[in-house]
Amino acid sequence: MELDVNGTRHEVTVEPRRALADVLREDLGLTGTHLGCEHGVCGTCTVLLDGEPVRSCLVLAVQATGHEVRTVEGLADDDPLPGVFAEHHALQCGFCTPGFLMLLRGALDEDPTVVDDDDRLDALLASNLCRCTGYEGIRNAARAAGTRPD
Amino acid sequence: MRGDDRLTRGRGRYTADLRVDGCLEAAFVRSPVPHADLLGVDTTTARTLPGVAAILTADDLTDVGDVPTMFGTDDSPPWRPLATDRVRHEGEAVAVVIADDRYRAEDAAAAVRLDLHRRPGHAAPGRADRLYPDHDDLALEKEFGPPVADTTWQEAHVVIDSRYRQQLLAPTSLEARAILVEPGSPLTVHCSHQFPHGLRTGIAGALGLAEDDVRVIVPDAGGAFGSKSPTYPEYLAVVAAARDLGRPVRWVEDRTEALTASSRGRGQDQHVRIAADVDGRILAIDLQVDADIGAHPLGAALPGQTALAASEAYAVPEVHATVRSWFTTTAPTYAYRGAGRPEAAYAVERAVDELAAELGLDPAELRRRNLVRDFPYDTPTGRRYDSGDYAACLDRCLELLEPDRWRGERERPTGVGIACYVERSGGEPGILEEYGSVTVEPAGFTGRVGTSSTGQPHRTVFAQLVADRLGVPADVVDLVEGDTGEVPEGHGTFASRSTQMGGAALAGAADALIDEARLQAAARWGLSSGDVAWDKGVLRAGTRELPVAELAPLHAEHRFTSPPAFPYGSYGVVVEVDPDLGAVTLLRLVAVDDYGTVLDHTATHGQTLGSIAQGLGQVLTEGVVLDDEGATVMPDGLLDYLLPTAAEMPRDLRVDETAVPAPDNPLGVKGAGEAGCIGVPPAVVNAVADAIRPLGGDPSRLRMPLTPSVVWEAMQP
Amino acid sequence: MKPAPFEYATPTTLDEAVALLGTPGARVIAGGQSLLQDLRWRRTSASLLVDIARIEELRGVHDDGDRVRIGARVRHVDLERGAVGGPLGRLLAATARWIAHPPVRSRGTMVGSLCVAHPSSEWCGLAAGLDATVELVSVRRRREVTVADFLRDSFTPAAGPDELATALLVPVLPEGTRVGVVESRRTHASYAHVAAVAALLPDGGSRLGLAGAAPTGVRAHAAEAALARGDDPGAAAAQLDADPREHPHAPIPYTRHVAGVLVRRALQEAS
Repeated sequence: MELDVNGTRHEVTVEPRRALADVLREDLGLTGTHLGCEHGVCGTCTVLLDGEPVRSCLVLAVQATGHEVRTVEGLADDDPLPGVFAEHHALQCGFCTPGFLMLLRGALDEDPTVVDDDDRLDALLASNLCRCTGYEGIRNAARAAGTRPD
Repeated sequence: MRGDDRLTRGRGRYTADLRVDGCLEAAFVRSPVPHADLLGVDTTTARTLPGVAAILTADDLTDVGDVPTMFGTDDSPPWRPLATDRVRHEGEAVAVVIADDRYRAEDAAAAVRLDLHRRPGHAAPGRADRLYPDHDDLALEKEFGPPVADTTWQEAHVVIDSRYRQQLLAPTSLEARAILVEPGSPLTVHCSHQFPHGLRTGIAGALGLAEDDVRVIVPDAGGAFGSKSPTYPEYLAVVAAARDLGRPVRWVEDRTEALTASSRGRGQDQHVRIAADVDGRILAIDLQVDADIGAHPLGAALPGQTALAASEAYAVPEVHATVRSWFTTTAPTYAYRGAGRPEAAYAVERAVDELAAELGLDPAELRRRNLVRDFPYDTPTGRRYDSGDYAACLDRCLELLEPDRWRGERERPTGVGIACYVERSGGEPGILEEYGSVTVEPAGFTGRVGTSSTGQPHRTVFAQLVADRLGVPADVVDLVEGDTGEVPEGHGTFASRSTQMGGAALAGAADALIDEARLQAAARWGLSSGDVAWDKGVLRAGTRELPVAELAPLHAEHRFTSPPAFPYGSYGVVVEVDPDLGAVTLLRLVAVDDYGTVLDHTATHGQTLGSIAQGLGQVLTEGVVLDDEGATVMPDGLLDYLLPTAAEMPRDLRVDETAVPAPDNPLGVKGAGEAGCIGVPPAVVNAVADAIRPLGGDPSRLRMPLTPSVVWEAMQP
Repeated sequence: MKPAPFEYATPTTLDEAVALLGTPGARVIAGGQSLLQDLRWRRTSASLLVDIARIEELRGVHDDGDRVRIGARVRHVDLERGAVGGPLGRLLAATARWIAHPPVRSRGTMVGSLCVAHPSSEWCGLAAGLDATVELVSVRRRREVTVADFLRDSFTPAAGPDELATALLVPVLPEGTRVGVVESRRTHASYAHVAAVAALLPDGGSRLGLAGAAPTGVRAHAAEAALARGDDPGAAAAQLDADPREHPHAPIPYTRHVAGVLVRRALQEAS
């Protein structure tokens, strides 16, 4: 099958049962996408599929054929999100970070004002789990990313 | 923080990210029931499935030693890496499949047939029908402090008598356990772990190897919170498989395993009695803990931490605590953030609040009358509190909380609650030492320390500490930890010990390096070392100067030892209760902690917030649900075991610190890793109790987690 | 937590899809947000997954004036973004926002939720409350089943293994209908405990749906009748419409009580 990841087309042979997350990690070596629960709850495996955030543990790789996959490795060099996450201490162990970055990248691309309203922001961030930070740094980083031109 | 630029670009290297040629994958066959005789393991079909390299059962591990317990008993029953003739908890490992791919390993694991004869299970602490033929179900019983005199209870103006439950919690680091073993000499173990030197000892001991024949490396680690310090049975099974097959093998725990088979925290039934006089002076505290420690004594002695803390922040003449640790047919109960101290703070601070209600006294005033004021202070159960100004901390908390602002007419029932705590950081005898070294390299300095980050910014804080000590920029200091091949000894990261013990060791090593450099320069110049000054990495005497790099290789070590330290804090919470649904909303949360001298406020702030979130988890949403026999009732994983999300965090969050230096520490520091999860639960429950009391609610019916149904039921007449 | 092996097919026509569903053990996959969980836990199995993502006929929303036909490929997020107009569209959008979170809403489908028949599915409560109909197609026949009949029991939709749920047909709510939806849940990421959906019709009638209050989504007939009589619809919902099962974090009397409270609140939001 063909898989279009971060602008590169890959030819891979995989079983239909293989999750997109496993193909990204094990077959393509893109280990920035993590697996934390494998049932769609924690969000560490969040990637963009045609620009929309999805759980790559709940998408089969074969379902992603014909669609554009974007992972944390595919964030633009000048994407402000990684920098604001570091600046606002939005991470400790860093395991959840790629998932939050992709969740926010997808949401900000769709509507940059989503981070300006506390209720909308919390509803968005509640998609993913972080066990280290208590979320304050993540909230602050998200707000900062929204106010910067990208 | 150092490393954030990697982690935010997807360039972290967690154990499951490591690429080793020819690496095989392990999947475990686990007991589906809490308790049964294991009559047979049939691997016939499973062995024929594609991709399977081996299937190991207990019979294949007879030359592997027992699983070491961390806080066990003197007389612990043997614990085998794979179950032999009995399974004693759901998820106990019975066999391990090694295959070329995790999918195929799980296919084979599913095809292994277990012949099990069910036995009754028991989830609650108490005597059952002998989980071990040669051991009582009471694994450990211990008493702390002299018993409270009968006359004290008889003559007291008021006695509070309350029972509480500390529910079992799943630590739930987002990266579950993970290990990758490369056979050879040395055997190289990559593992997400808090205590690499302990794991080295555990593996070497079980496999009959010298410690030097085992190297443990901790790559990036995705959280631990106390749960990743043991030598788990699965680790020994994976090591044995790699050894036997001569191939690298990894095991990446999945969430189902983490929620059913891995260690849990808390797990106590508590009975607390407090006697007080008419002015609210506390005369006595008696705390009885019955702990459900699970099927193996991994943390049997940990509830002793609760007993030791039974005085909390108060100068009480008579304090007595008993601990009984009971075997139960569940996964082992072990350390989880706070490890014994949150349990003590909850029992005492809930009961103190009930005392205030009984006496009609302001809860803050009642506490103020009883706080310890003179240091050092020896508690009746055996602690020596080192230092502090507990009253100043409480006052600061009240300033930020503004309790009076929330009184009076409000749309929904509103309550204010506070809690004070004292905890212990640094560890207990046996780990109250740490290794640090500083080496001069041609390009700068390397610090080495025996701690092991699982997400804490050690590389930033410790490099800065060494740099400050040496008077050099932090960017010329490299920091190495979490590798037994690089750091000769160490006690790891838990018990809020890293900066207190490891930081002090590094500071001592840096000082020793300066002394050694001055000695060597003096010898070169024919002077005495007193004539040579250290000036930001340059040695000077009169007009002579010598950059320290020219003395390379130069190396100094320091082993720091000290008594434990006692951080403390005051927490305040304002809650609003939905009168119809019972749902609790936090309107404000105040945390004022004293960690002694703080080296890096950003780092301690992060620890405080993260621990607060875990405290909110315990008090509001989290709890392992078991049936009476000990089987988990969480079919939907993290949709049943609910971690707080961003939307559960209070928006009005006020975090502050007081800073009374620790007298036994050269840096003045105390540990900062655990505070929030200790202070938050009692403060929140006290606030909810305050909210429902005027409605005729019964606070004694409140139990954690405070789900809406629990609060609603407590509000019913 | 890796699923057992299965085959995978991506038919491009409905005929092809229903033909494939004749294969023993074949299952339909739409968004897969529940099915893939169950396959990972190996608590369900499939020999063949028939992915409907490329079938043009199952796309989109069509309004014939009486009923809105919501195709099997319509995702939660499409409804959240306003794929349907009018009062019904507003109710669908408001309800969608309670479902899981954005990364699940961008994959999961409304018809898929009906076919999972989770007891606290918001869509099941809404579809039952609005007397919607499920369209089922197999090589044998095309039929319509009311949601009340379709949701027989928790996780037990009344569809044969060879039937494909192609659409949900929802009666249009007349202009002037006021709508509300409220939910109780333990965290922002948890399943609903109970959800209540309300539509106040311009003729004075009402439509009330409940999720989580019974083994499946139900229409709250007793509450609607009480409202018409001028009685307390909450009490009626709690006593007569709710039929909850025991849950570790929600005893039956509490869930009954919550159903009543939420019916009142949903009506309040609508009015």
